[in-house]
Amino acid sequence: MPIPPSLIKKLRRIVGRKQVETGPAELLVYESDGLRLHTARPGCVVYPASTDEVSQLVKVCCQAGVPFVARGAGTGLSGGAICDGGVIIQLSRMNRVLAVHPDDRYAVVQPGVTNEYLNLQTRGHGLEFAPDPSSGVSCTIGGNVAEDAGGPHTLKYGVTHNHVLGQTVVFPDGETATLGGPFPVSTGPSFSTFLIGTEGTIAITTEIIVRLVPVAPAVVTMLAIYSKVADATDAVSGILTAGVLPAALEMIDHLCIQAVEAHLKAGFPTDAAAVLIIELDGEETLMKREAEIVARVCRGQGTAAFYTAETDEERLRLWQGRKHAAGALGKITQAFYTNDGVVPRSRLTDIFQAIYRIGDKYGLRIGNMCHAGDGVIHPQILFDSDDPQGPGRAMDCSRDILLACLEMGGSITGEHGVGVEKRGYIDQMYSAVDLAHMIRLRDGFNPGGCLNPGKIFPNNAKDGETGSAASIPPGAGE
Amino acid sequence: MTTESSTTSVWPDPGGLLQPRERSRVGELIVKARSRQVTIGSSQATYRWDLSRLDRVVSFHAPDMILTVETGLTLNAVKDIVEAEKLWLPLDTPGGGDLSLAEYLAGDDSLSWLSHRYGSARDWIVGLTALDDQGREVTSGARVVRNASGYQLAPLYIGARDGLGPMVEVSFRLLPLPVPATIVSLKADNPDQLVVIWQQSCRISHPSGRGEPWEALRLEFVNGRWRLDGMTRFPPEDVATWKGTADVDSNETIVVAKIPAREGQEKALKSDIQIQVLPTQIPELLTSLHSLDVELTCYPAAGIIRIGRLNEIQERSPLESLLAAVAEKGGRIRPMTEDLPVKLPAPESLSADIVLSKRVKQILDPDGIFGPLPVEQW
Ligand SMILES: Cc1cc2nc3c(=O)[nH]c(=O)nc-3n(C[C@H](O)[C@H](O)[C@H](O)COP(=O)(O)OP(=O)(O)OC[C@H]3O[C@@H](n4cnc5c(N)ncnc54)[C@H](O)[C@@H]3O)c2cc1C
Repeated sequence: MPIPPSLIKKLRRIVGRKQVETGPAELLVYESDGLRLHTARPGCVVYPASTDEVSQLVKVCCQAGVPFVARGAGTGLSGGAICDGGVIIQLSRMNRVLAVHPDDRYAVVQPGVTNEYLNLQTRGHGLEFAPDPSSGVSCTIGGNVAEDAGGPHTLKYGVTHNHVLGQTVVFPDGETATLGGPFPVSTGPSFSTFLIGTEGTIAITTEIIVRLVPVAPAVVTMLAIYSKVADATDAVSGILTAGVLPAALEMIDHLCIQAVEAHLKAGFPTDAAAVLIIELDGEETLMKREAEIVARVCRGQGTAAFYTAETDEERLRLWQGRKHAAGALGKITQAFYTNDGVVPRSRLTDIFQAIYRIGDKYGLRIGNMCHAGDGVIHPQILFDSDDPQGPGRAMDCSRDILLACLEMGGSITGEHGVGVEKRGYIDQMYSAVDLAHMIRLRDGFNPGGCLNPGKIFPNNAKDGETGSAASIPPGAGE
Repeated sequence: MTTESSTTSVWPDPGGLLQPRERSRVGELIVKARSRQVTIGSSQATYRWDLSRLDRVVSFHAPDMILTVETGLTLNAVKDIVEAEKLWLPLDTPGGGDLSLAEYLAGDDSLSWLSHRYGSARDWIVGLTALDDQGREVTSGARVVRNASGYQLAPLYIGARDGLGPMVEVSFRLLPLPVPATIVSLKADNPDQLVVIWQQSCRISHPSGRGEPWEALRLEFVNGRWRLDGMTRFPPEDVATWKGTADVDSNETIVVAKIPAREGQEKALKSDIQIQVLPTQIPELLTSLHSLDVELTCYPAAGIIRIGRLNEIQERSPLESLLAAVAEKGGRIRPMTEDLPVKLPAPESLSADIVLSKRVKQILDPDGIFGPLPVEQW
C-alpha cells in the first residue's frame, strides 16, 4: 500500500522537503541491506537530523498506522533494515561525535557515526571503541547497538553490550528516554543493555555513550598454516585450553584463501586447507610468553608452517586478507550468501565437517571465514544467480547449516541477528513460552507493531513479507 | 520460618522463606501463590525465595569455556568448579562470595575491585532461565560465547530483586585462568599519595608504554589507615617504579600470588551506601570523605565509593551535605541496606531506567505475583 500523501506532507514538515525521498530510483538502494536475497520496497525514506525530529517522525507514522524502520549504513546481513511499503528512517545525517572524554574514557556519539570514524576521533587519545565488525569502515554505532555487533577482537574485549554505557532512545509513540550514564560500570536492571541486540524492534537509538578502552600498546600477529581443517580447528581449542586468551583467533579455509590470494595477496599459501590468524596484545613480557605457548600448541597440532608478522605492514596484510575475504570471494563468483551460526568451541571440527557435507549435498561451493575463537562461523555459500533455483538452494543449504549448529548446542546467529532471514528458525532455538515472553516485551513497548514489523519473531500479524528470490540483483552481497 | 516446599506442605508465616527442593517446585509454588493470592519474590512480598537447594551443575565442558548452573550454588562454589579446570570467572563480591547466585544476581552486588576491567555480572552471563508469572520457565540466550538471537533477559532480571520472577539457571562465559599476578599493597595516612600512584600508573602515556596496568584496584580507609590494594600482571620491577617518591609505607608492597586463589579474592568492608561518580571526580571526593573520617572502600577506576559503618559516625549532617552535593553534580547514590541512619538526597524525578523497569514489571507481572519491584531508591 502506498504511503498516504498526507503523511508524506507531515514528514516533510518535520524534516524539510529535501529530506524525504519518494522516487523509485532513490528507493531502490533501500530495498535490501547487505543480505540481498531479501528485498522489500519502502514507501519513502526520511533523513532526520535530531532526536526531536525522530520523535516527531515516529509519532506521525504511528498515528497513520504506517510501519517504519531505523537504518544505519544498511550493512546488516539478516534483512533487518528493510521495510515493506513503510518509512525508512535513515540516520546518516546524525553522524557527529558529540564529545570525547579521554580521562573518564567515554565518548558520546550520534547513531550514524561509523566505527572507523569514531576510532579516528579517539585514537589520538590512545583510546578506541573495542567492537570491530569487519564492516567497520561503513557500519554505524547505531547499527552495532541494534545488532549487538562484534568482530575479530571481541574474543578478548567483548561485544557491543559490554561497551555501551548509556543511550538516548525514542519509543514508537515518540516518547524519548535517556538511559544509563557515563559511569564506567553500573549495577541493577539496565534497560539500555536490554535494548542492545533487539534489532531496532523496541526503540530507535538516537545518541550513545560508549566506553573507550586503551589501544593495545603492543601486538603480535601470527599465522598458522594447516593442510587439514580439523587440525586448525583443534588448534583453536588447544590455544584456549592452554590458558591463552588471544585478542583475536580467526580462521579462513581453502576456497577463501584462494580468492584472497587471487585478488589481495595477503600471503596465505594457496595449497593450505586452512589458516589461523592469531593475535595477542597487551603487556610485552607476558605476550612473549603467550606467543611461545601459541607456537607450541599450533606446532603440536600439525601446523604445516607457522609465521609471526615481523612488521606492521605484514600484520596489516594478514588482516586485509581476513577482513576482505568476503569481497575477494565476490570476484570469483556471481553471488554468494553469508551464513552466521555459532557452535560451542569444541564442536568446530564437527561443524566444518557438516558444512562441507551439506555443501556437497546441494552441489554448492562453500568458503569459510570465521571468528573461530568464539565459535562463530560464516560459511559463504556460492551460487549461480542466473539459475532460478540458485538462491533457493543457497538458502536451504544455509538453513541446514544453522540446524546443524543447533544440534551441536549452538545458536542460529552469532552476530548478524535474526532479522527477516532467520525468523523462521527462531522457534527451533526457543520454546513457545520463551518467545511469548519476548513478544510480550516487544508488544509492551511497540504496541501498534509499527516499529520494524516482521523481524526476529515468526507469525507476526503485521508481517512485512519479503520479496521473492527472483528479484535479487546479480552478485549478491559482500 | 522456612519451609521445604513440597506442594502438600504447610506454607510458612508471611515473611518466611520458600525453599524449593527441585526446579519443578518453583513453578508449582508460583501457581499456588496465584491461587492463594499471595506474593513471592522481593523483600516486600509475602514470601521470599531461598533457592539454595537448586545447586546442580547443569552443564560444564571446560573446552567450551561455558558453565551452566542452577542458582542455588554460591559464587565461591562456582569459582571452585571453574578454577579446577583452569578457568576463571572474573566476578567478585565484597560480600565474600558465600551468597547463592540467586541472591547475588537478584541484588546485583557484583561491583568489586575487578569491575573497572571486567564489568559486572551482566557482562558474563550468556544465558538465563527464570520463571514467568504463570510459573513457567522462560529462557533467553544460549550456552555459547556469542549469540545474537532473540531478546536477552539478563539485563532486566539482574538486580530486579526477584521482582520479575526468580532466576533458576544461568550460563556464564569464562576466561582462561590467568597467570600469577603481583599483588600490590600500599599504606598511607591520607588518600592523596595513593591517588597519585593510581593516576600515575594508569596514565596511558606511561613511560613503559605497556597499557592498562591494573587487573584489580581498590583504595580503602579502614581502622584509621588508608591503603591501596591492586593486582597486576606487570613485572614486579615495573610495579616498584609506580611508587615513585610517594610517601607511603611499603613494607608489604609486593606479594606474588595466583590471582584467582582465595587470597586474591576481595574481602571488603560491608557497605551501607554506594556512590557512583566519574573516575576524575574520585580524588576530590576522597579528600572530602577523609575529613569526615568514614570507613570506605573505593574502586577508583570504576568511579565507585562504598561507605560502611554509618551507624558509628557521630555527626551525620556533613555526610548528608556531601551526598547532596554529589547528587547535584550528577553522581548516583544507592543504599545498600535498609534502615539507613543518614538521609539520602531525594532525586528530583525518577530516572528513566527506573521508570522503564517499572514498565517492564507491569508488562511481565501485571498481577504483581512477585511483589513490588523495589528499585525506587536506585
Ligand atoms: C562485509 C561485512 C562484514 C561484516 N562483519 C561483521 C562483523 O565482523 N561482526 C558483526 O557483528 N557484524 C558484521 N557485519 C554485519 C553488520 O555490518 C553489522 O550488523 C552492523 O552493526 C550493522 O550496522 P549498520 O549501520 O549497517 O546497520 P543497518 O544494516 O542499517 O541496520 C541493522 C539493524 O539495526 C537497526 N538499526 C540501525 N540503526 C538503528 C538505530 N539507530 N536504532 C535502532 N535500530 C537501528 C535496523 O533497523 C536493522 O534492524 C558485516 C557486514 C558486512 C556487509
